Amino acid sequence: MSVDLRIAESGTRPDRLNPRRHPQPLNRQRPATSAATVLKPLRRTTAGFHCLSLRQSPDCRRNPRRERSSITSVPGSSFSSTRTAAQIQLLLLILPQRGLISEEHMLTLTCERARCRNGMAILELGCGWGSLTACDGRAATLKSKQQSPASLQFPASAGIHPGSAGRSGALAT
Amino acid sequence: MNDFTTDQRFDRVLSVEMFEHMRNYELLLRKIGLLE
Repeated sequence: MSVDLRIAESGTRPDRLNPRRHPQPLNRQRPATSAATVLKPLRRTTAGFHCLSLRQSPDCRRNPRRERSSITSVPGSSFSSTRTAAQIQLLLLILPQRGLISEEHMLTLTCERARCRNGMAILELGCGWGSLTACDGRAATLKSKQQSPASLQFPASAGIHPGSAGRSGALAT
Repeated sequence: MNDFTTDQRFDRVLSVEMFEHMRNYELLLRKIGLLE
């Protein structure tokens, strides 16, 4: 995150003095190699949509096997492990190329803004896919109604992505 | 979110695109405050 953006987000400077450069500063922060890394696996696919696997994602590098095992370790989840994994795969499959990049950048930026670090206990409150948790590499998507508080368990994990959480869970509303 | 309770505490509570679907912000933020 640039110094200027950091100051702007700290809230110490009045909004009217902040330069209105959104979203260019966010785009400019990302290295150009990032897109190339994404495009490489894309060329191997035949469809107009990309088939980016979790492993190939540049901003959220992770171990798919570990991710899947993290998903399975949520007990009594209404999302079965395979379904969640499949849903994440489907999400990555159907999102257009540019959409996914910006989505991942946004989720990464969200982690940066929250100053997430490895080892933190993070709860994601949200609707739908639990994309942030998925992006973090430790998907534990829970449905609140089926999930009793006692069974809320968060998988311990070793984060690869600097913004990722040690323990995280998503609560779908 | 209405039914959600836990004794666990978290270093961060993140929410992506949920707040626009919520109404009772006072209750919501109070509940989130208890998580930290």
